[in-house]
Amino acid sequence: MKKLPTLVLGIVTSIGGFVEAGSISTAAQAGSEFGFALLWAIGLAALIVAMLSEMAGRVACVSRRSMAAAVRERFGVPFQLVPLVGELLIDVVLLTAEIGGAAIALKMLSGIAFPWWIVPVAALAWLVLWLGSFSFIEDGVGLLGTITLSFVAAAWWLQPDAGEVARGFVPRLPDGEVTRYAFLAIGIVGATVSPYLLNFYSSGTIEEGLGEQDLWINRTTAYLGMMMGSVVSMGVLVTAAVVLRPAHVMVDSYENAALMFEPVFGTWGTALFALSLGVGCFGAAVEIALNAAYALAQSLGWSWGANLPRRQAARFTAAFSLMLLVAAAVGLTGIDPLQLTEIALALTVLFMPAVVLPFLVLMNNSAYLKTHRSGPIGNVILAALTIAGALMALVVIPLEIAGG
Amino acid sequence: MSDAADLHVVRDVLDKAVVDRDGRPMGRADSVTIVVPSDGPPRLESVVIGSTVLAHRAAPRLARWAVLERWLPVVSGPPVAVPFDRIECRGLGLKADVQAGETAAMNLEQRLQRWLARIPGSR
Repeated sequence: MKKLPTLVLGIVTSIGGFVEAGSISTAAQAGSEFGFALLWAIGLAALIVAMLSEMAGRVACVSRRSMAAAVRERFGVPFQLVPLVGELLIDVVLLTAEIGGAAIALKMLSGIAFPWWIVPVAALAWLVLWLGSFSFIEDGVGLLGTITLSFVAAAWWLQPDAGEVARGFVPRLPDGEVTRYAFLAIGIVGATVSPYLLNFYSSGTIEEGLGEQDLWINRTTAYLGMMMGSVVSMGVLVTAAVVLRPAHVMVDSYENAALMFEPVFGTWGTALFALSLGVGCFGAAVEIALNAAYALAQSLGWSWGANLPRRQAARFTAAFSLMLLVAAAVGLTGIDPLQLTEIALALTVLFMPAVVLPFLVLMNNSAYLKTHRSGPIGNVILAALTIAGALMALVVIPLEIAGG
Repeated sequence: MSDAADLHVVRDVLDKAVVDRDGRPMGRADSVTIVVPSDGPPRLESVVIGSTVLAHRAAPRLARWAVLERWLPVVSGPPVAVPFDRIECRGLGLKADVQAGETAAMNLEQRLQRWLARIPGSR
């Protein structure tokens, strides 16, 4: 029970760190266009990411290997190049989108155009990474992120019809716009089952020093944290469904999405939405930049770790600095963060088979998991996920063109 | 090498993390060299760490690009071959009986360390 504080903090930070640009925008779009009908997609995506996180955490607890390291070792570099390049590419696009999301939040609060905020946001993210230990970064981001619970508070306050909400958890075809519905469903999965989240989670398990005796902490944090975190996403969807849908407001900008808070929080609505968006995006930006450095350092065998003095892991430090620099440079072009988010989601789904397939092999490898390998049920689920991932990867680009 | 009879080069050596004698990460076993003597069986000669050999394994066509071929060794140092008799296989990784800092494997790390030392306030 000595590790109970670790467990509680882990769950709270998972909740606070769950929503970011991708989850907020897809959930808001889903709610404003299809009411509660896509709630099931958020639940399913959370279950998938909880399962994969638990597995990645299990590999880390038992073998002290993150996913990036384990995939390089077990599959060799010619295979690993595919998920690694995919992950770094998604990281750059998503990092730019998150920095942009935080910049738009600052624009809503200050009235100063968002490109002016790109460099300050990236610089602040770098400063946090330059100065902070892993627990400072993870706990700080997660605890600040609990402000996103305002989405849950808003949904609660609006008192939606419970039966209608419950029906949203049963997948069914919509009356019209099937391609848009399918695109949003896949987009929600893409926003949730992000490769950065999985490698960040397994790296964090190692940073926190969890071992084989702590597998229960990993299991509880992964499932409880992710499932409770998804409640925040569901809060976004429900609030958007109740407020934006009847008013026929399309979420084609964060400013439009912010309107969902007005009936609940009145004149403070926009400010609270901006704070939730800004904190969610900033936290994700810090984690994505750190994760890109983790993935690169672990793949190439460099020293790594946010708990190491920065000079003892110089290439790792250079990697997260470079990521922020590149993302800020792309962001300065003024490209719409919401569009970038959609590109990142599509890329995530495109690379999903290459990310999920290694799990199927690693989870059955006793060199990495000793006696904690997957059972038949876990294997069947992973195989089904790999096939579903491949199918989604096949249709995501046509769907993005037709329904995006 | 602790148990040569059970050694599988791909499974146990290639792509494994290499630490030096003090446990400091040096890189990964990006490649190996094998000698084939005329009078005996092939022998694992060395474990090679380096971005150029890695690039040739990961994406051979890309690695032959003149720009990459010329600049990779300049940026990250030339490949380092550690004789196999100085390598010990330990579980999922390799330990090299060398001092990482004295090899070219740490060229980029050391250069960046000098740059980072000029920025104040780090952990």
